[in-house]
Amino acid sequence: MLSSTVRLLMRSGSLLRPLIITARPLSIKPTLINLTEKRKTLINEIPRRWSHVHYTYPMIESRVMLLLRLFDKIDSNSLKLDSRFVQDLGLDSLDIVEITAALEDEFWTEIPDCDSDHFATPRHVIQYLCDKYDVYEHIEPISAGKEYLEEAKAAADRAHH
Amino acid sequence: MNQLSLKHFIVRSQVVALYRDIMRTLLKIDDRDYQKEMREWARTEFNRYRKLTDLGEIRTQVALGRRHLNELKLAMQMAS
Repeated sequence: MLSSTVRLLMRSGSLLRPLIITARPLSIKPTLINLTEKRKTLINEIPRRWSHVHYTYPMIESRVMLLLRLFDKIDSNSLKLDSRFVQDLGLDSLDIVEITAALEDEFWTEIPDCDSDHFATPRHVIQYLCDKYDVYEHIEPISAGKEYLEEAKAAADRAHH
Repeated sequence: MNQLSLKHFIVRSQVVALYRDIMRTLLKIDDRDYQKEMREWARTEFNRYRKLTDLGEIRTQVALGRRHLNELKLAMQMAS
């Protein structure tokens, strides 16, 4: 069972060729996946099973920006987080499809057409991927919580003194 | 006039879906240079028929593209 997993992953060489090398253990058996099935079923299961790969906002951001810079139709100097694909960078819908396919390959996930239609800036892309991988650390906690915590702390201090 | 643009919109989404399938299949090719070459070839083919406005012609091209894609998938399966 284990060796056939390894053989399958070795044969489809693109699975072992990420843009940025992150360690991917081959010892986790995808038990729910039919191994003779095509790559598509493999894609949705693997990122959630390899829990040691810690997805953070800077990591996702750097990977996405690197991928966009490597795209030869994009001018690296004018690429910013908020530069719009169609209006500022001069891409068209086919280019966005190419970028989406490359993102799918890089992040080992599927991005349906209905979602990739809404990609307007790199920031949208990063936010979408953060939602997909449940990354929340870049989002400010709501201020009501902060004030409540400060009040509770002040009350506790008053109680002690 | 509106009905014509709706059909165009549907056909356009078919074209984009075809391009997406082609890109996904091409990304599985192991040899990086060959993959890049094939992607550029696909791009030029799509660009060549960019200015078509007749629905029948567009649909014909999409069907031809699908056939190309199936052949490509077969070839890749046999190669691996």
